[in-house]
Amino acid sequence: MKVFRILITLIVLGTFLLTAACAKTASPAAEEQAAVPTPEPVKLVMLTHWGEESMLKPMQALLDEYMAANPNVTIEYQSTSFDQLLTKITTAQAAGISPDIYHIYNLWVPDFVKGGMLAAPSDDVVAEIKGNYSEGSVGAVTAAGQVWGYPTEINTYQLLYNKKMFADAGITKVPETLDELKDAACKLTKKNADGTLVHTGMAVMPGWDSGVTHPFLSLLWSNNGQYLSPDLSKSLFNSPEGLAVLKLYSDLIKQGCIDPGLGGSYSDFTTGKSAMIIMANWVRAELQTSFVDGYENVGVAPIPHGPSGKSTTLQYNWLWAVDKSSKNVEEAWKLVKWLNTARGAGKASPMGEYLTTALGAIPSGLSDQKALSNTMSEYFMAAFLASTSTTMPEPILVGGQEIKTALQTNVEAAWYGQKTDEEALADAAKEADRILTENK
Amino acid sequence: METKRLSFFTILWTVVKYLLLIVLGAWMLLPFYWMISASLMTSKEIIQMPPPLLPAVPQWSNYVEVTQVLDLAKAYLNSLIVTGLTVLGILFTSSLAGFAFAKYKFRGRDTLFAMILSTMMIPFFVILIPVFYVVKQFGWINNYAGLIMPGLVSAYGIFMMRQFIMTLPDEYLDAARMDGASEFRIYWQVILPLTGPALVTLGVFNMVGVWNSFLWPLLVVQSPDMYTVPLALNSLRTYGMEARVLNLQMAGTVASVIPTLIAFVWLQRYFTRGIALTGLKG
Amino acid sequence: MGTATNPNLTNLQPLGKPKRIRISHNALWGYIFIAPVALYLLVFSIGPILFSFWVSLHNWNMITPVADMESVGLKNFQYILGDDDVFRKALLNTFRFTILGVGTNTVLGLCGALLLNANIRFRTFWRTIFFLPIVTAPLALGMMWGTLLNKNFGLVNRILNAIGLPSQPFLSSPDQALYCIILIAVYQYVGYYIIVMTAGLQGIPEEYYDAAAVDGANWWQSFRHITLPLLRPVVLFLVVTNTIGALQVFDIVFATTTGGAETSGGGPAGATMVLVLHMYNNAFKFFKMGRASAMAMVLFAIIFIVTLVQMRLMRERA
Repeated sequence: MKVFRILITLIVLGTFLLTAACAKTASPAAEEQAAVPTPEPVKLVMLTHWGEESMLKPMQALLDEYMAANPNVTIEYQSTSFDQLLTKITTAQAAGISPDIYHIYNLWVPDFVKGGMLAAPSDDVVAEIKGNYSEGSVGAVTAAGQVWGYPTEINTYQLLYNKKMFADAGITKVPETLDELKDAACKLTKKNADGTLVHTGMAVMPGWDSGVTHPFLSLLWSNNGQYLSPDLSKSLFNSPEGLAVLKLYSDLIKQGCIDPGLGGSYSDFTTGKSAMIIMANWVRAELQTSFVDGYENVGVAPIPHGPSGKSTTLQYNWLWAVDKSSKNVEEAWKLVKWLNTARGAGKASPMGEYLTTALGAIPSGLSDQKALSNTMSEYFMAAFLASTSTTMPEPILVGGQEIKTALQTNVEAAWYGQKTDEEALADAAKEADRILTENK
Repeated sequence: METKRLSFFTILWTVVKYLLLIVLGAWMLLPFYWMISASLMTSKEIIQMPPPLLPAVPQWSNYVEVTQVLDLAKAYLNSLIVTGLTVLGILFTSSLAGFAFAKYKFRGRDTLFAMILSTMMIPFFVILIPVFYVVKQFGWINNYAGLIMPGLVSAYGIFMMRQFIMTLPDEYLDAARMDGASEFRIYWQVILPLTGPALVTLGVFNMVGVWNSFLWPLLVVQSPDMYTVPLALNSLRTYGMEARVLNLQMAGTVASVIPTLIAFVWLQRYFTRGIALTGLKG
Repeated sequence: MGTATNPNLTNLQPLGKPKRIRISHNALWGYIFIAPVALYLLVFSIGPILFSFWVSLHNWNMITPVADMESVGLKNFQYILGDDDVFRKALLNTFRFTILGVGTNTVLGLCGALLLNANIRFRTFWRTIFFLPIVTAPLALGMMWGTLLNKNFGLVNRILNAIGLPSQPFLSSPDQALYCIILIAVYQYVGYYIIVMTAGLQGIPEEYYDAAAVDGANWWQSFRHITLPLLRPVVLFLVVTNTIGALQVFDIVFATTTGGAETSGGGPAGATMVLVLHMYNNAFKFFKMGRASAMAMVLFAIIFIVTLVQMRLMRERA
């Protein structure tokens, strides 16, 4: 009976609260109220994955600056972690509550465009983008013949190596060719007297699609191989060149110079479990704080190339895009443009400052790269910056993510010995071709 | 057991029993030891590889820091409201519907019941988008209604309550009807009290589920002031470099486990009695 | 155990109509009580499921408006059941996970319940310990076990080494990864099984055992002929509901094998790829909600059939 009475009270309370809750229309808290309502008050919602404290403050400072100069604009900044970003965007879209502006990974652009989700920038913005960004970066944000936003970070891959381990192993020359890479990897594998592993020559990152495919493609291109046909009608990586790259991995795995089961992430390199790794520039922050032998022992070298190829790295970009269903498309583009335009001759843009200070990333804008050449002159940054002239952009197309995952799954199968190299590439190619045909 | 032989066997058996319990118990506690230990480490210790077994100096300040970085109090309040109301809703709807399925005869009853059961067989995220759309139409995005309403009815709960109520003798109902009680009063004053223990069981398990639910709130909630505890903890991941805030995340997780644990300990005695009586045996 | 509608009662209620009303008083109230629930489920469950079924016959990237979805008929199903290697692997993994997970938990749960039911002190204390994993969010559990099972510096390997056994690759090995996930899942739910079975055990009247003892039965015989049969309904309930849950496993795998960056989960060489994870990837990474919905329909059919079979097999012969 007592339970019963408690239940009654709770139900009554509950109904009361529920009614109150239904009546309440909680509107998201605005970051800052518009001080003086002038022309038309405009509210813009921005979504990125830069939620870390160290990245929130500088961004908020920039937004505050803009709002001070444009008092009728209120900007609400939202962030979510990277692995939830895409889900959040697509579900918000499906429910009709999209943010006005988002910062997205360029691989998603074709699908967004196919769904009619993005608002095309005006012609002058397009011209500005085409004029201030490298061909690779412009291509990275182009789909269906249209440029869709301002590229922000440019990410490339290089061969990172542990200088101290190189010295200990007596290797003076950093590998430049695939053969040299193979050689070095095994020379750098060190075992204890009892056979337990001290460190392997090179690390790989199974379980992560970019971690597997991006280095693979970089090596493929450096070996004069191709990924997809230019008209995106079929896959071209199931070729002698592709096989050679996969064999490089497999042979090294068989010899124990690469261990796919080691730890499986770039932290293997950071913690000294591996002497080398092909990895992107954004790992810099972790290297600065935690590299086992100290940041000064991190070496950066171009991707090793094959006999007939030249060192090429994969490039991908992030970009600012505007949602088509936004009620303030023009204002949104105005804000995005301000963020990405140089403050003055020879000066960096707000984004340029932000990317280099808060993130330690490389801005895609050429004027930014020049204006911030001081920051860019640091050893690590300079090396990656130099690599931006030898890149091939990750192809963006509808179904691109799916092809990438198919490639990843099969490469991993080869690494773990579940398929032969030939089988793995053949299966991946078959899957890729199917996806390409399906999405034509 | 009249024959109590204090034989070697009995002693051995007792030792074995406790040994097994200890081993099982240790296995249960292992991750929690790590969770608590990690929650008290400094950020430097936590990124060490290998991480130390115990913190050098327990950093109780981590718990304070977590509450500062996140509005953990608000998140707790939100979680409490959402969990409380959702569970109440589930108890109410499950017992009402369970009662109907158990004690009433109407055309299509069993088909309807089978249909309800089959809704358990679809993974939630498949119907995520349409439910999201419905919620949006009602204007329930980013408020309590959006968090509570989609969880108000549980097929599992209906199933359980039906089983239980089926074991209650019809005589109680007949007697009440003889006395001229309306059907609803029968439900309120006869069925509900009798199903107390089963309700508690259902309540506690659902409470855990709702408290820990993550995917749905992730999509419905658009602003930090509506965060539930899992969302708040998740937002920690972007607070700093992931590895370095593991200690704070652990502190938050420990803190979030405590309420449900307390509820369990408090309601524990209703538990097993409830399950025993739920007619699962029949 | 059924509801006997006492025909006499239909006279008592104030509708004032003679016995020949089309819906009996009893049925009317049945409908009334069901109505809110039925309505709710229609809006939040049945409706969305039907919508999902509709989507499974199309290609949908969730961004294009619903009206403009491209119809592909049964192609999604053809692909899933024919050419999708990952689906096949996920199916296998999910089945293995379900059978081993539910099986292990049932056995362990029974053992635990027997242990707890015997004369044990501090029963509440032990129960609380077993209940701990259940109240913890799967995300946290996945994280913790991921750390504990880490190949290089995880505690489990350290313990193994301390007693002279070699380190195991655990989650990094395609062979061991799935078993690790099963281990974590067993860990999370064994307490639930123990508690439910304990209650079941406590419901068996002591007299039965006494009678058996009088007849000279030993422990094993009373276990086989009293305990097991009487526990059957409880076990049935646990197995059926938990199989349904296990076939839909997601949280644990997602929490343990996804971590930052763009990992698609699925562990090393897809060793821990399970059906719902594959669905999730299709929906939220590949923009293929149509295919994901088709998979959900297939999964639904599987669950339905499995449940039916289980109930047939395990139903009391009485």
